[in-house]
Amino acid sequence: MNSGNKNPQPGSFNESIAEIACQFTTQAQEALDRAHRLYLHNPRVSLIDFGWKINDRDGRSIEKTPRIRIHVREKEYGAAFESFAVNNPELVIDTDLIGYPVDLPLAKYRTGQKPQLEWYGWEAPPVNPRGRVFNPLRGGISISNAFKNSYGTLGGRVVDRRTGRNMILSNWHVLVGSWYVPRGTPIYQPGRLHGGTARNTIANYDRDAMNSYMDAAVAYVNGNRPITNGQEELGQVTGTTEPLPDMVVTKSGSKTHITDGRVTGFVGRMVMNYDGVPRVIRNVFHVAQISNDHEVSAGGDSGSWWLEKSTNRAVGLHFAGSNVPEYALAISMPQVLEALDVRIGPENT
Amino acid sequence: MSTVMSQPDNITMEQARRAAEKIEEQFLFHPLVSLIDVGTDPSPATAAHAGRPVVRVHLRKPVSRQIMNLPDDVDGIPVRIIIADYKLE
Repeated sequence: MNSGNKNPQPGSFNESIAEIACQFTTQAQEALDRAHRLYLHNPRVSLIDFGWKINDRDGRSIEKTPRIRIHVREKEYGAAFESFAVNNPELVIDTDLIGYPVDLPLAKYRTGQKPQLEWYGWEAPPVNPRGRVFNPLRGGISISNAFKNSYGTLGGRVVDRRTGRNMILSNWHVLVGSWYVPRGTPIYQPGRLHGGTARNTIANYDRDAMNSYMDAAVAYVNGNRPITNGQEELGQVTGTTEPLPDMVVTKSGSKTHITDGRVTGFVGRMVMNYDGVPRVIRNVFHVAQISNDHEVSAGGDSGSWWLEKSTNRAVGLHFAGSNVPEYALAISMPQVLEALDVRIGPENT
Repeated sequence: MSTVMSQPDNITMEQARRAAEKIEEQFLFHPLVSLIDVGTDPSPATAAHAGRPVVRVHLRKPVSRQIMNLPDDVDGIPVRIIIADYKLE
């Protein structure tokens, strides 16, 4: 990252940043991660960060000692705290668990913008190279159906075992997204949130695997544009294989583009809400970061394919993730292909 | 930091799958449970379980094992907790 100023002036803002950055040791990083894991979902907490101690009772003065700072919306003292702790033990923040000096400053934060809807891909960046028109079509690019003002990822090309026709494979919540979307619904590339319209129709939804407990669906390509079995910036998909423990995987997604991860869990099951209906999802595998400073996935990547990094064989269909901590979830590809009665075919257009 | 898991043999994997199914019967529809899977032990390796698969119950927020009434193990397969709230992307 370019910090812009390598020699900060004494007393300047940059000098302050440099000073606190020196205190951010591995121990502090681990403690901050622990604090996120334990307390970020606590409704009392408005922010967790690392910085100088804030003296609430001393006119909010700053004391230059490094702290993990768990900012709380309301703060009780003395007998009031004792009473609060007895009645709400699950909301008490145990600073001894953090393994680093902790500060609990009082602070409420609000956004400076109107609240935004939360769904995959709502927050389309103004310029996203995956949000343009692609010809030929390939995996890793923006798509949506005609009804959802959003975008997900075109996972890749598959071949219908019943007819031999080319199809695209992505998630149910990308190609369909509602229990009222009919068969034949147009699929746009790029997705509507990237400006896709009826003129960008590249496929029509045909069937899904929700009844087989998988967030997966396929659509017949209409031939307006050729399609390859390549993945944007990753090359050709060479086949398919089961996810295995510690397998290093990579994916090409509309939002975070190329990211890597490591498989740490498999044969997972979960209950996820789809258009207001809770559904069981099976054959889930879990992908964790390889290193702490790299994102694994984000909203808009749904539908992308996780490939075994060393062979480019398809391992899974990405559909969900967690930001803190940074995890991705995918559905095992062999089971997805079987349920949809499709296969990953050889290269042709 | 999770530990690295060696490739488990089929018998161990089958035991872990069965243990996971028993946990699923009881906890899959619990509102705090976001995922149940089999995988790498997320806690520091112990001599007894290093490299062996564990059942992992992913919770949307930190809750003690006692409140959830989660067992420490099922038929000898350890049951671990991971805190993660998953969303469609």
